[in-house]
Amino acid sequence: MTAPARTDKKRAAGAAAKTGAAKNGAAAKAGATTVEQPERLAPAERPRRTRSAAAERAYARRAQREGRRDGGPRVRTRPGTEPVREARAESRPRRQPVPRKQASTATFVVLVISMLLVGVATTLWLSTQAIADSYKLDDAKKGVAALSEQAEQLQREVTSMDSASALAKRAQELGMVPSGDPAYLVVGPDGKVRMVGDPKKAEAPKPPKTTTPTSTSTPPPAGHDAAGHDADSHGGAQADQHGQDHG
Amino acid sequence: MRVVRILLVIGLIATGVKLVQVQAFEAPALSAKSQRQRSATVDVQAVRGSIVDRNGSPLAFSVEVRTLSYRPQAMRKQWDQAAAKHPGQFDNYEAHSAKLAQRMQDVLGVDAHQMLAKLRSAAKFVYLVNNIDPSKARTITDEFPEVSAEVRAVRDYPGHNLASNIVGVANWRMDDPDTRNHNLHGLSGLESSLDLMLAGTPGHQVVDTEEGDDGVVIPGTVRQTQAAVDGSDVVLTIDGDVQYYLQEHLAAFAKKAGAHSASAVIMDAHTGEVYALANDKSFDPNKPTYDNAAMANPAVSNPYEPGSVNKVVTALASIEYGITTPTAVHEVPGQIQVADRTVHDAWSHGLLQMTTTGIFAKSSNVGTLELAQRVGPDRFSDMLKRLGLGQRTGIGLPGESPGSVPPRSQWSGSTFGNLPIGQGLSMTVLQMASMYQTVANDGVRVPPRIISAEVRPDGSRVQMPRPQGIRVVKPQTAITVRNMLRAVTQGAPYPNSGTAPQAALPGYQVSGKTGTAQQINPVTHTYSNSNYWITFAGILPADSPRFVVGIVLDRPVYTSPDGHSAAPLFHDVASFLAQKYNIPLSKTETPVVTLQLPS
Repeated sequence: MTAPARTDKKRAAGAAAKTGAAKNGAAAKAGATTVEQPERLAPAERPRRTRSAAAERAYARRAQREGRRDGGPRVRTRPGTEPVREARAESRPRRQPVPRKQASTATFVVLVISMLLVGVATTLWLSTQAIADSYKLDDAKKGVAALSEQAEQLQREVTSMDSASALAKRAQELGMVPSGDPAYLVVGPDGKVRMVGDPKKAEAPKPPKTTTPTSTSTPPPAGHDAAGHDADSHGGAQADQHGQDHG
Repeated sequence: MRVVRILLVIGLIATGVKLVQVQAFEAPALSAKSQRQRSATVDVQAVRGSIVDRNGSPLAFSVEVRTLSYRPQAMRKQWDQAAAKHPGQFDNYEAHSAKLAQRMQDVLGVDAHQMLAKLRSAAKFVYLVNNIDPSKARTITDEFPEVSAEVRAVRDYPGHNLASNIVGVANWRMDDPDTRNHNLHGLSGLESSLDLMLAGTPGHQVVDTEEGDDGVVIPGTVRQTQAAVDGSDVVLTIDGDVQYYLQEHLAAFAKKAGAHSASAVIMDAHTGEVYALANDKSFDPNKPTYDNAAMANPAVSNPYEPGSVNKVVTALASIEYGITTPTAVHEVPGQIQVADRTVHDAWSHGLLQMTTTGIFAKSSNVGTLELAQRVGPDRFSDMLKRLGLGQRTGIGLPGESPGSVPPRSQWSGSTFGNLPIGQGLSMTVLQMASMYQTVANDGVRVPPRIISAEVRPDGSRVQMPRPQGIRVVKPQTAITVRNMLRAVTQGAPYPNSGTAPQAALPGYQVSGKTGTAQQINPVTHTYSNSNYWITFAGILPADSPRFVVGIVLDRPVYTSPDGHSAAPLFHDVASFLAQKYNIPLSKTETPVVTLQLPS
């Protein structure tokens, strides 16, 4: 379900808790009043309250915890229900209050409260951090988006300049012309070099620009670097090896 | 005390009642209201896959852009009201819109007057500028938050006209009423036929956000996530450089020859992979409008009568069935009677003594028909079928034509006088090249393919299934025919010259066949004597085939020097391929053979 419903439940639970607390408070007050005004606990009045057995036991236990004597008579109003506990309840209040026990109860309470506080603080801190992080995340995301946009833009530029048509245009601007048919230098099995094809100067296409046409095809002398390059790449054993005229 | 108790009980009851009311009766309305306040639907775009060539260079890819829009009516009201309430503190709408228009001109380079006209129109909603760079859009929206920016994508074609007839074009579609489905979709070519593979599925998620800022997501509130699935990339068998060369040179040659149109294909001799497929007309998909006529792909959709290029069928059949040998000599008269028709050779001659090689190298109609008659119509028809004529190649491009071959049952007496010389049947330039691929691949025909692989968004590469090769003739038959067709490019003293010495390439053995097919005159419904399809199919190199090239020119000026043969174009393409792929030279030169005995 949705968050608001949850919130409402919590709120309701809070409200319920508050009501509960209020009730307990009232009960405690009632308890306090009973201490101050024992006459109101006259046996004649007791049956009106019609406490359940469990409630009786709870009161008995509280009385025991608080180590007060007057818890006794309250329990004793219903003799025979729990004779053993009654007996204990009878015996304990007779002892002197033990300070060590009181101190440990206080420590326990302090411990619980501090744990609670630490827990609440941690939760708060964590959720604050999470929110702060989500802002940081947003900033980072924006940064990533901007950078990937930039990368995309640069990639786009590279790709458009890298395409065959753009390269051909650039080459033309630089005065380059297609090489035409190259001549090949073939190294025979005997190591002799023979030329296949007819090396020609590359000619600029018909509508030349105002720039001077550059001759790009100058065949290297036979058996020179082209043939050497050839022998390197093919091992020089067969007749079909060729060096390409990079004109 | 009792009063306190009663008050407490009343309070408790009131709380309980309120609790029930809020939790049970008002819950849906309240949660919907709170939802509206903080939850936002964030659309997640699916990136359309790229189309790349065999080397991975992109032919088409997507770029994210923004489109700016505005609400002139509402903004006019708002600004004028603000200006009236706090004079001096706020501009009125006239001044504000002028500022915005000027800023847009500075940042985006658009015309301020045009923008102003849009901003000051009475419309409720206007699009200001389409497809601009996201960073520039942000500059504007940061300064003028009332301008809204829609996320869109555009398709970029870095090669412009390069392979545009194959790749096609995709654009942003807004026909779906649900804006979440607005996306790039293909209009033509592979962009259209592979749309499902390329497009992907846009996704979205619902999140709680800081009010007014969709970027700041409250942690742990992402829900109803439908992940966006990006499209797959498509890898073609095309080589961008070869495609560019073929496209440029084909267009230039068609122009020089005065042809109405032209198509050409370069395919791998063994795998049937198409390295380049070009038409003389192409379009630039980056431009806002396209020329409809140039968007088609006639290389796959327009069949034509092949002419003498089809003589390879007779050559294959007559060698396969042992009817003749390359060096056997035949008596070839100047004309031959087939049923009620008389067929002549392209040049007038008396009785000649021609070798089988000579019949094909000099493209004698009479000699070919003599051989075809010895093969017989049934075996000939079967050979046509095995070579894939009359059937689509399944290359993977939309709108492919199967061409047309008359079924054997419908042949008339003269049909068998037409088909062997490449008239009365039609094929696409792909099918024509595919026949020669069979010859180049030692008798196994591998149907051509143009889509190599699909690269899924997770990076896995799915290779497209390679078509099964079809054994058409015995390997030795294919080799014999290939060697015979080398003589077509033979340049020797009379009478031993082939029909296309211009196609020869120094250092390489080249097989090929020229073709000149008469077109039907639409007025007289007879074969025309001035309108031709000029064709050429070639294999490079003949002794160790790497590439097959097919070329067709539609109605070139036949009398012009460039209008009667496509061989020079084949030569240029073959020369380029030999250099580009460093094809080793042929071990031996093409032997000169006797085509015709001296009379």
